[in-house]
Amino acid sequence: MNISRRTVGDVCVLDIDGPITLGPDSAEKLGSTVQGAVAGGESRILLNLAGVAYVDSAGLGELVGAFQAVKKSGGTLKLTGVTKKLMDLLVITKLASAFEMFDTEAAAVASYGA
Amino acid sequence: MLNLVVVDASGRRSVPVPGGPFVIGRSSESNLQLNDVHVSRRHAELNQQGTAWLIKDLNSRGGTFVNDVKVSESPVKAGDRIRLGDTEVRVESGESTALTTGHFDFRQVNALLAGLRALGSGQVLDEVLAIVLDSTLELTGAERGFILLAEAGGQLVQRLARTRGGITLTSAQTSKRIPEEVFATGVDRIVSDLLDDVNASRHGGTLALGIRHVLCTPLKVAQFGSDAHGEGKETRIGVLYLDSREKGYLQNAGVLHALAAEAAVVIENARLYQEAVHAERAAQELRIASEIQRALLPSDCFTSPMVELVASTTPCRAVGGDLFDYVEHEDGALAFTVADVAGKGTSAALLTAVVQGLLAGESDGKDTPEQVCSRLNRALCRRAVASRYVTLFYGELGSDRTLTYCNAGHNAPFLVTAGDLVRLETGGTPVGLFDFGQYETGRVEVSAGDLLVIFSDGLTEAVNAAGDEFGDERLADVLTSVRGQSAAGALSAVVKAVTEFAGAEPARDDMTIMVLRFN
Repeated sequence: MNISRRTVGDVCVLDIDGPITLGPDSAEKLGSTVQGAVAGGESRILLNLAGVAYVDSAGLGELVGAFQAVKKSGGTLKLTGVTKKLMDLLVITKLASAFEMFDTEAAAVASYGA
Repeated sequence: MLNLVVVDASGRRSVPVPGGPFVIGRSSESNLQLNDVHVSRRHAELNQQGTAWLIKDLNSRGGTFVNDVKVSESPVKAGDRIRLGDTEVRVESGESTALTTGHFDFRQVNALLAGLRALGSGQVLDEVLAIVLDSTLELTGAERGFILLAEAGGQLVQRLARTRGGITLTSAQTSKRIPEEVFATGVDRIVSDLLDDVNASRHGGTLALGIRHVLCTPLKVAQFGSDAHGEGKETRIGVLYLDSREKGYLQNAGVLHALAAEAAVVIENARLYQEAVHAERAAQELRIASEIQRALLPSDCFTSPMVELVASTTPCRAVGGDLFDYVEHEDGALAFTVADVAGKGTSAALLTAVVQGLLAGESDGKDTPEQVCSRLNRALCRRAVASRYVTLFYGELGSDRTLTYCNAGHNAPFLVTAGDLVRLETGGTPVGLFDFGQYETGRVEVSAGDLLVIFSDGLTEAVNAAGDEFGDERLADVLTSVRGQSAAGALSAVVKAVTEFAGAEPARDDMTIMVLRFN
């Protein structure tokens, strides 16, 4: 799994490419990248999950962990590009309501407000 | 060549005398340093005259005695006793001392290793290291011996230090620099006097112990296969490090190399064997864990006037992260649960046991399912393990045929009624994720003949060779076809369907199914 980071306005966008699964190169990498962004002062973080075909239970745990880490620091983590497969998982686990999700990156960026 | 056998406050040692002048005294500058206050700093000197040896007193305070006769100068030969102060030094013939008195055949070690293997000893490596060091010390006449072996990361770690007489040194250290150099370059280092070494300042710690003479050689084993030039490849597994306060032990590098080569093979054999023993032990531990986990589960079937319950759980590894449990309350109500801990294998199994313990404490029948899930959630959040959580379905069947339940992020079970398939979704998020998690209790009336099918995602996410998932729809189809059957019949139909679907594809996740049929 690869993560590339860019900035749109004052939103830190992390493009995730590849499945988020148990292991140091995947789920743990997501967690540490988000925590790194938070430590670097980012408070508006958007995960673009369009390149994520599959999320296992460890990956889901890491997504929630990232969400909570950002929230604890006073920021907000939102999602865009959520695939149907991931959406199903979020619905089953009733986590769909915990995350703010947007169909397009533009809508997500705009939602953070000025 | 002569050999001197000394016993003083530093212990018993055998010191070769390669040639004269060879000074004996209390000073650290001496060729043989005696740890005895009645010995003068420069006490006596040995010199060679043709094939004969002469000892000469260097105006010592206490005098020099040969076979109890005070001498100023006297020939000495093998068998003579020289006394200086309170210390007696025995003269031995030094003819190939090392090889004749200490010759040690490492093939014996290999034989011993075979014996230890037969005994299944997990301590094989430690034993072999001790044997190698003891025989090396005997062979070389060095005072202390060390074996440093490379760890997986290439880091050298001291595995054993011994001194003469088979004594293990617990706090002794080698020079830091020399073993690393030797290991990196694969070339011997023989430092005849650390004081003369260009890096003397770096050996301060070693010098402080009076150690001045160091010999360090790599331990190498040949690898199978050879390179383009037909030369076998070698792997360095560590170094053998010897040191001493006396000069002049083991002059013959060829002997040392032969010894190191044999020792390396023996050590590597022992190490490989020990790894195999440890792997076997780990597998055995897993088998035990697997048995304990199975024993922790209740019986896989239960019947009461109200209900027939059957369950099955199949871990995809030795131990699993799924669990099922049920308990009948005094009033005839039945509480039951299926839970899935995120992750697989040992770490998930440990958390599974925790969840089972917490649930056991909850099942007194006084609390609603949402209260049970809330409390479990808080208990798990307090013991937070990063990114670890549990999805579970917790239900209670009351004596009035009301089914109350809480679904904490679990795959929604199917309630198979006479005319419908109902998913039981009410509940909340998985437990152990959010300490502020909110839970709701769902409620449904059940009728005689209805089936409740609770399962973990290992069932619906089972894949076939084409990579397709079994999925909720296939499961729904199977359940429609078993409507009205017994719980055991429904369970075996589901298991049969998923087994046929997956074919030879190995299970990727633990799979658990619980079926209840209401009477």
